[in-house]
Amino acid sequence: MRRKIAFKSIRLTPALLITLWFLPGLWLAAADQPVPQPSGPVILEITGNVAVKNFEHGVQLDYDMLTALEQVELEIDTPWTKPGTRFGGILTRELMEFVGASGEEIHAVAMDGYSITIPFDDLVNFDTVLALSMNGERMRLRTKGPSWVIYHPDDKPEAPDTVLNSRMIWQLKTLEVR
Amino acid sequence: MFTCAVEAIIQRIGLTSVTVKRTGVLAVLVVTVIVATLTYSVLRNFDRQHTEMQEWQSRNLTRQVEWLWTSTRIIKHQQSLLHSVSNFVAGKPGYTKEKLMNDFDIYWSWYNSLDAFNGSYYELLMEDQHFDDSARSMIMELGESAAGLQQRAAEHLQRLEILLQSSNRADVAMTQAVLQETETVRTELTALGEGVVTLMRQSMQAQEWSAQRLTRRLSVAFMTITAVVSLCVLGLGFVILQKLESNIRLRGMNKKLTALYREQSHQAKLMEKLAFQDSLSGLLNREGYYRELRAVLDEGGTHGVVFLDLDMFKVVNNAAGRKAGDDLISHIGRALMNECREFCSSTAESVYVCSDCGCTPSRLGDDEFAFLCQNYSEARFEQFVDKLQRLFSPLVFTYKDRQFRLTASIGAYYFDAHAHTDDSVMERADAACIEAKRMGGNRARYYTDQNSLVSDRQSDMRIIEQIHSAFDHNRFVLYYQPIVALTETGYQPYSYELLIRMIGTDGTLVPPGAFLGVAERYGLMPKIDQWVVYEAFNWLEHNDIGSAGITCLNINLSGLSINDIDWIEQLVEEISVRSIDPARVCFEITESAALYHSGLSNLNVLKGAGVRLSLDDFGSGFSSFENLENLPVDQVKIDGAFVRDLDSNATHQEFIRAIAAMCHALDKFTVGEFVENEASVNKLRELGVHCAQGYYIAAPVSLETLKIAKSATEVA
Repeated sequence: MRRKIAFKSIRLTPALLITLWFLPGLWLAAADQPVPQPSGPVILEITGNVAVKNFEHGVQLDYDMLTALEQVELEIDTPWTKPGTRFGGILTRELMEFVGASGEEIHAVAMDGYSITIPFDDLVNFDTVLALSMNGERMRLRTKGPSWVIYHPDDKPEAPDTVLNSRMIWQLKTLEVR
Repeated sequence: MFTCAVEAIIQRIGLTSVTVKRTGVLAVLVVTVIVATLTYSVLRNFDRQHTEMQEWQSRNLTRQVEWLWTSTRIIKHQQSLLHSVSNFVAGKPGYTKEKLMNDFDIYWSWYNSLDAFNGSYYELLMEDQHFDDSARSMIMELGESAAGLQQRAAEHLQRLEILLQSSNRADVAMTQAVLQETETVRTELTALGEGVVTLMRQSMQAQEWSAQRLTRRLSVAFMTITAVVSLCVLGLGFVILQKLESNIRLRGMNKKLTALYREQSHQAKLMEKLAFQDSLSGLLNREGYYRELRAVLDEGGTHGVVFLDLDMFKVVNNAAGRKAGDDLISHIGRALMNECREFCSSTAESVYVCSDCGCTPSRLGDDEFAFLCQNYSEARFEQFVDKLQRLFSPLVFTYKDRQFRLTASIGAYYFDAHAHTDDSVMERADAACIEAKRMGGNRARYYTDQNSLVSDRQSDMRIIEQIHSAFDHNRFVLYYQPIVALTETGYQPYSYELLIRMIGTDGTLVPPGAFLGVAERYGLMPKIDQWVVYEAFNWLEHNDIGSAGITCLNINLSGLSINDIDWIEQLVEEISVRSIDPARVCFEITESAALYHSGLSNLNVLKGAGVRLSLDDFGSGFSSFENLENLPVDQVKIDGAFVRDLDSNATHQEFIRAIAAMCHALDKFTVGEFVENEASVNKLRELGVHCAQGYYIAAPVSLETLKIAKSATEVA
């Protein structure tokens, strides 16, 4: 049995966009407490239209900073993993709120040079997870770590598999909000 | 076949058409619902299968794409790793140990992918139901081989990791060789993957084929179901229609049969009509009448019969032709029918029998009619007879501007059915009718069981037989009675009236009153007249009456003879052929005969032949002076009834005086008959009557005794 995620996605795209529009303001107000510098090795950089920054182009995040955010664990089938594989991590949506991101799409780049553009709508329409662990173990580079964007389209049967598969980018290096 | 079965069931149950309709509709509904449910479940099942298959195929395709992607990437990253290793060994700047390990990790991650991919792939293949057992075992083998290869690859990668982690560059350089080995394993692994993909493609094709087969099966099933439903509906519809049609056909046949039956009964009625109806009068004919009469006699009760005989029918026939006679009968038929209807105020449609009063007018013979008055009271019967008599007193019939005034002799008999047969009833009515006729006609006579009309009738028959016998055996004899011309003091011979006498079978003389009346009633007079005329002519040829001072021979002609123009013409011809003087012949005719129809013109024909004419019995009946003027007669014989008591009856004296004066004025000779004494002779003389005749002067004597020498006249 797959555990359903706690967040119920809101389908009204304009409403969410408006919310997202106001988010930077909120985060500017909260900028009194700036995002701390990563203490460990940086595993993800978020650049572009982000409200908070801890370096010149955006936010650099280490493993601890990411695991400090609200965690979810989901059982998701992918073509590359054995059935019943569980993924732990944070909802991409949450992450984007955390960094105060605003825009229409996210340009994601992997360590092996693979890159893909994820529309912001996907964050609304699907539960997308920035997975950090697989079956309870922290993902290493050789197991598609350190982070992997995984779509959970089980409740969205109309989504075309091949397109979503191509957007499940692993060995993620940077996210550019634009 | 289906409809046959349905029909058989319907026949067995014996359903009526209405229940057939209801059951048919219900059956169609049930069948339709069942078939619809079946179709829906089949379609639903098919849809589910199809969806599952599509999902499977979709997953399959995704995996194929990913497999290709992974295979490509693994080669790329292997080369990338080899490149990094050689650069690291060469000590190129930027190629640190850390980067080397990163590249190795990424390369490993792709092996992991391939591993996971293979694992899920086999599961997917095993899900497919289209593979048979041998294919499944092959898949199993493939899976095991893949697992083995994966194991070997993992061993290689672990060896590589150890070598790469070494600080010795020579060790690191060795990785190139190890990588070559790993490459071999990878090639085998990808080759294995190709086999899997091939299997998967076969599976997909099988699935595709299966889908097609499913679609075909479904369409066949659908068509079959549609056909079955259609047949159901059509069959039931057909059966219902057939039932309805046969119903309609039955109804039509029924109608036809009814029409046929009606027509047949109509035909039967027509036949009956033809058999029992007189076509001329429209009344019942003799058979029809007797049938009714017998039916009435069988029933019992008291009834009345009327026998009606027209008085002068033959005259009409002879005078105006057969067509006139036919018209007259038809006219009388209608009149009698109307009479019956009027009498009981009936509106009944029946042609023969008035159903309201039970009166049955019929025509029995030429001019004989009869009525059967069923269940009449005696008083009512008498009323009916009175009414009939009034109808014929007289009945005026017009034919081509000529008027005939007809009278009838009516015989009536009221009887009790138990005491009679049809013949006895009719015999009595007939006898009463003959009695009426004997009394001069134009009257009704009732037969009562006290009188003896029947025996009279029977004697009539005997007389007729005698008359016929007399003709056959020449038993008629001529008598003559002299008519004398009155002189101032006495009288002298003037003419002879010829009278006929018949000798009976027993040799005795039959008086003229006994057989002439019968002869008249039964239409024998013309024959008698002819006999008399020829006998008289023969006598005249041998006797010269002129030499004896006799002016002429008076010969009586009956009404029927006078009105028969053919006979008159024969007579004229006969006179011209014979060597006799026409002036020596004087025909005596009665006024009624002379005035009847062609009588007058025929008299003129006779007159034209040069004979004399004498008007007999003038003064009786409906004689009128007006008629006297028009009649071409030379003589007028005053009826004996006025002469017989002339000496004592002053009225008769005045009457004769008037006649004599009139005849004098018209220049006609007058004769007084039945003179029985001298006083009468004197009176006649006194009144100016020219001649006299009677027993006082001379009784009739046989003509055979009178011989007047012819030679004497010839000499003279």
